[in-house]
Amino acid sequence: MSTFFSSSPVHLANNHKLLIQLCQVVKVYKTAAGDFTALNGITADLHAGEFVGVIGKSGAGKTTLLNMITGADMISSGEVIFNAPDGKSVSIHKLSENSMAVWRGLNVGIIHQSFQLLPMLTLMENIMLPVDFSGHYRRRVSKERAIELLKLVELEDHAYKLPAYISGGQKQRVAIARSLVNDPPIIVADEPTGSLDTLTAETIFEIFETLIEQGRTIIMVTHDNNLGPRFTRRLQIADGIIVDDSGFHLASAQEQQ
Amino acid sequence: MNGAPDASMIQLRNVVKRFKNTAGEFVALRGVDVDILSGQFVAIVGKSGSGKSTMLNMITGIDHPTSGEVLVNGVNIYKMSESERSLWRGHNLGIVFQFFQLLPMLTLLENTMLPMDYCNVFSPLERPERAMELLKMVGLEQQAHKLPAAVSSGQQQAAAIARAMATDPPIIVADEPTGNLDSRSSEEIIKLFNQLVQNGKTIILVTHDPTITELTTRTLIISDGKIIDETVAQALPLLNHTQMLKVTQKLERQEIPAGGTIIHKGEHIDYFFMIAQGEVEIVLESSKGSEVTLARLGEGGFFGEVELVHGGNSIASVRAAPDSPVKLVALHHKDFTEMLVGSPLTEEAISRIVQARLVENRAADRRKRWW
Repeated sequence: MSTFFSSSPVHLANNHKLLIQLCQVVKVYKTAAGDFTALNGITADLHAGEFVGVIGKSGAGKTTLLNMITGADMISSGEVIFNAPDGKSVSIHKLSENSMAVWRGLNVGIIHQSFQLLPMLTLMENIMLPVDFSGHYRRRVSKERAIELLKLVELEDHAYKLPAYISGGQKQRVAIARSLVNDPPIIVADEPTGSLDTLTAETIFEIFETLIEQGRTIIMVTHDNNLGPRFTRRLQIADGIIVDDSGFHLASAQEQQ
Repeated sequence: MNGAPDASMIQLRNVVKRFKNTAGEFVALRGVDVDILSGQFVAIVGKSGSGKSTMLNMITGIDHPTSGEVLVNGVNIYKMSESERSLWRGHNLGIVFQFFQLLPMLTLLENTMLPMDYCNVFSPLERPERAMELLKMVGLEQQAHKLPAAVSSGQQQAAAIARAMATDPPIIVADEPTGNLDSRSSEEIIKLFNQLVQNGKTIILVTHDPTITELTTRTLIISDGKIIDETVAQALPLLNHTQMLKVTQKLERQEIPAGGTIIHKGEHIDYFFMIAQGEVEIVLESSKGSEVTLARLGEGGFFGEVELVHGGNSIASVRAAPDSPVKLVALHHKDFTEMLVGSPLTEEAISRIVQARLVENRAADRRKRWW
């Protein structure tokens, strides 16, 4: 498991630097029944190397917040600023659709509760699927890279199996491997342990914690309050606002900057 | 690419699937025989753990049967290598899943193009255009450049259907396609399936959704790894699945040529008959030797029950309609009685039909006061 992990010193060097700034983020959905405000002014600074838990009940706005951070959905007002390790800052919702796709492809890995693996493809093929960011950036994932990622999640022995032959926890590990294809500094995960039993969920947390040790930043959505202690940072969300923000140590951040 | 209507599209022959795990062996399918015809819209239903999804995986080749054969569009899919099967699958099957399985980093358009890229069908220049057409078909042209996260669950499933159609396969297979959707989105998805059936596609889906099973041309019920006889399910809908399976296992099958007699008047009846195919006539002979046709029964109809419920000999003759050979499934008297004891609801329903028929019989022949 160690060869790949030690190969990302870049992430570690940037630890605790300001990575993502959420500034008065508002998202209003227009529905037939009228406007629905999913996010009502979210402000928070997220730092490299944080394991952020976005915690709240169903309908609180957690997934919407993730979609604002990945740029998957349009913002109604406010800003999401990404501070690249090279010092450049971008306000991601001001990017064109294509530039945003390229930005996302390079910087964000996405993991879902229901894995989103293609069942007719082997684990290898699922990881090697062409990653096409609106035609601007096409990169075939090499076999070696795919195997390296499968090793990272300890599934290299299953490389040529179809997803139907492995367990739910193993499927989620494949999804994690796929999310790391471009070696992104940020991983966002929407209820990644939501359909797994406690023991299996633990293996997913172990992988996440290793990724954090490398200096990657993980933003994970969960409705499960009990998972709170697993995160280094907790954003409690209710009715589209942050009701509690705990766990971040300003001192250590200032020390680094 | 769609098969001729009524030609056999999918055949399962004595398919058995055993799973081995640490707790021992589990038999998911215990000898399944099914013939699905081109253009049929088939629902597979059954309780959780009955073997529904396993059966679907046998058809898609995502899993292997322990024994038995699966022929899809004339091809024995388990005689191919894994990579041949993968390519075959890409051309012949569109698959739709409960949780959509769209790639989160790709737009709906890119997701829809994936199977074309993977199977190398349509020229690379045609692919975006075809993907857009398919998204238009499912009402998503405005959302084509959005990521899955930015659209509703119903829209994600519609995109998954567009993707399933990408290589224009003759067969669509879906596992609980509306299982994760609200009722309005479900309706939209069901409309799409209906449209595909009208275009000649063969659709097989596993579902719990009664609004889907109302629309399908066939419903296969699976219980404890076996398929319940479709005639039993149709004729005796008030039995539970376990009871239906028990009846299925005790059936005797008969084929009668057109016009052939099944029961002679006055004969002692030992069986409860259900009509699997064709039509029968129940005929009363008048005292002068002329005949009165009391009833004509079609598929799913049953007879013999008057005598069986009340005891005694047949009061009328039963024969295959002159223009239609008949396939029957028959349940012996003692199994029939056992079934009624196990299902008071079925007994009540059958008694009601018997009473109604007795009234009809009296009306048809007032002179012969045989009751």
